[in-house]
Amino acid sequence: MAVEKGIFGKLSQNKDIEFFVLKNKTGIEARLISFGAALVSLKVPDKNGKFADIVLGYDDLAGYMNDKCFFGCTVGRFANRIANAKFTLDGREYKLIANDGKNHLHGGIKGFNRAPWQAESFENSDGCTVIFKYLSPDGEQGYPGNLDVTVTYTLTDDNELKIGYQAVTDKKTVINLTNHSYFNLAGHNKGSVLSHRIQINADKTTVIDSGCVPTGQIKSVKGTELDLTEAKPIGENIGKLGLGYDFNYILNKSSPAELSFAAKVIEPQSGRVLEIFTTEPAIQFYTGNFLDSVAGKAGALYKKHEAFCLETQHYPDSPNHPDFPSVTLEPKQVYRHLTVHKFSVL
Amino acid sequence: MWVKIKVKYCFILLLALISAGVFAKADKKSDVEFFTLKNKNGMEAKFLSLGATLVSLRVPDKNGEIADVVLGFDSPAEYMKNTAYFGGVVGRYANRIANGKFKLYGKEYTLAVNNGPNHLHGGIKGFNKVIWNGKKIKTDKSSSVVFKYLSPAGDQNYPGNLDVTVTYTLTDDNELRISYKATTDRKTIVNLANHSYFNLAGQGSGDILAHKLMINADFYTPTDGNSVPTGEIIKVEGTALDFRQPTEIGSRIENLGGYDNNYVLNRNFAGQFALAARVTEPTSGRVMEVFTSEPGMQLYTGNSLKGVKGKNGSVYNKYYGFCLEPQHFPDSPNRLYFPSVVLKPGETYSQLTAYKFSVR
Repeated sequence: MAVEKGIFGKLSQNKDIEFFVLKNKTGIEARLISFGAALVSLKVPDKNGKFADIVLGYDDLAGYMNDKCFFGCTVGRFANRIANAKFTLDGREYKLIANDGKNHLHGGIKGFNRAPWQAESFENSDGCTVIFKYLSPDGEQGYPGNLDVTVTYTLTDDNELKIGYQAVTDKKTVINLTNHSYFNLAGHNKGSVLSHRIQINADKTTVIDSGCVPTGQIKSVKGTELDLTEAKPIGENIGKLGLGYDFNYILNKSSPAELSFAAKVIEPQSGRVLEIFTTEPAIQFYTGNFLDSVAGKAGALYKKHEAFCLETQHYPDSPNHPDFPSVTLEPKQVYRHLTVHKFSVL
Repeated sequence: MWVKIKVKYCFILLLALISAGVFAKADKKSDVEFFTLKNKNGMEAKFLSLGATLVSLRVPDKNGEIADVVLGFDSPAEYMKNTAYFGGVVGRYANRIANGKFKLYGKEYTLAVNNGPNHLHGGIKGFNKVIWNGKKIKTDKSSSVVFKYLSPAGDQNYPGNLDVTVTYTLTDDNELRISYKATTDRKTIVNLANHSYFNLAGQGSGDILAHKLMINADFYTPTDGNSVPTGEIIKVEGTALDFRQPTEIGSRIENLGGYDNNYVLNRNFAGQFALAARVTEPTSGRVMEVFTSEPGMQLYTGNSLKGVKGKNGSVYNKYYGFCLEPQHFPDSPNRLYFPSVVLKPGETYSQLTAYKFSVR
């Protein structure tokens, strides 16, 4: 176990962006940067002990500053879409920035993915840890309340990358945080993920309109192309889904906010296995439908369906659906979210 | 030592006296009380402490003629035997819980199964079958009856001592308001509703199929063969459940065998007190609007009524009354993504529902 750190780049003359490398006894390495509290590389062994970097990203800070794909970053204040970029809280309407057609996406034009977070690293009994902190001021991107956010990445010797989120506010607000890593378990530059096998522990999804915003309907996936309750290749039904998967799955849970199994992905060639456990009620499964020859790390060009995201979160547009699990945070309450990425081999 | 024993014996004696007293009380008819509220427009609402029940509701029609618009019985004994929940407060959990089981923070609770394979309306001895403490309160603009009941921990197998208050208020605006509050000393679940059967032409006057109904809901929770939600939320559009525009209750009822459905009410934010439904009876001109803070509302059209002997010699048959029961969604304890029905110590369960009457 060890934490290495250094300077990743300069945001301005006086503002350095740091990087941190967490290592465990297996040799897994997670590299994080304070810009966007982002995961920029994750080196994991395959069944033969060969390491590969399994997340998409850029080589330098300029890449992240110009990024439009949300590679590896922390997304907030509200991950996913808010219809018509507005919501009502206690009778008052709040207007946000429309940055996805008429809708608000991933916290706005300058969301948490573009914030310079404060960082601190240490080693403890659980593994090695980096804590990122950011104080989002009242009114930022149109959201009410000063929001004090902490994101904690921990790499354990059990080959788990844990991401813990906490937030408090001084005014009633809405919150929905996630991490937007793009995975390719064969390696970030290894092409299509369509042969990866995926299972999602969800019987239901939120039905969406053409703008990817929930209509309010909740439907069973049983017998449809969205049914991933049994493991199957990502590519099996993707041709029937237009551009690909970009759906919110409602996770099967037996207690609210319990840490429970959400998804499992297997890459047959390398034998790498990713399992995700979360306290969140839902997971967005996205198959990199809009990757359009994005220039990434070490000369890689990322194209459509060359990565997948499994973003643990609340349902999209929850602030406008009072019947969805609540995303309201009040003063004195603490927002908490824990997601565990567990790596193994076949 | 002597003091300790004495205290212990006194305590046991006291307990014995209390329990004897309580039983004696519950058996005495005289302890079941009636309360009557009146307003300046001639409206009159009558309540019974057994089940905190609305037993009659007298409302003027367009010509000023008064009629009783809720189904019911003449005597408390009939309410005790009643299996149709006429006018009573249902709890601790209104509507169905699948297989009578739910989990709360890892612990499983098993409830009575009293409706096919399901738990219904709080169990075998739910809130509609207990005697509440009633008290009348009068202010300038309204008069109220406050009913209180302490449901002990383990009552019908629900956890926590639940302290419940139901307040009925009749206003001079012809509104019957029902306010519900509850607190607990342990994590539990709560979903309260009033189960009045309405017939705006007057109880006992026949079926309610010609009433025009509007429900402010774009979605409903579909159910399986056992009347338990599948967990889906789907559009009413294009179905016989679509009451977004005023529609005769009877116009599409044949194929359904009656309505018994939970609607997801349209609201701007959780807990918003908003219009849920409007019902018009064409002949009398009576109009009833329902407002509520609840996320859902059950529409039931008295599908199981068959030869029920009611007030003043009335006989109630299928479709002779309709219920509009604002509440949380059925089986919410087992559908964690439905609006939460969990109540924790320190929190207060709170619901406001109003039935507002007018004529046209």
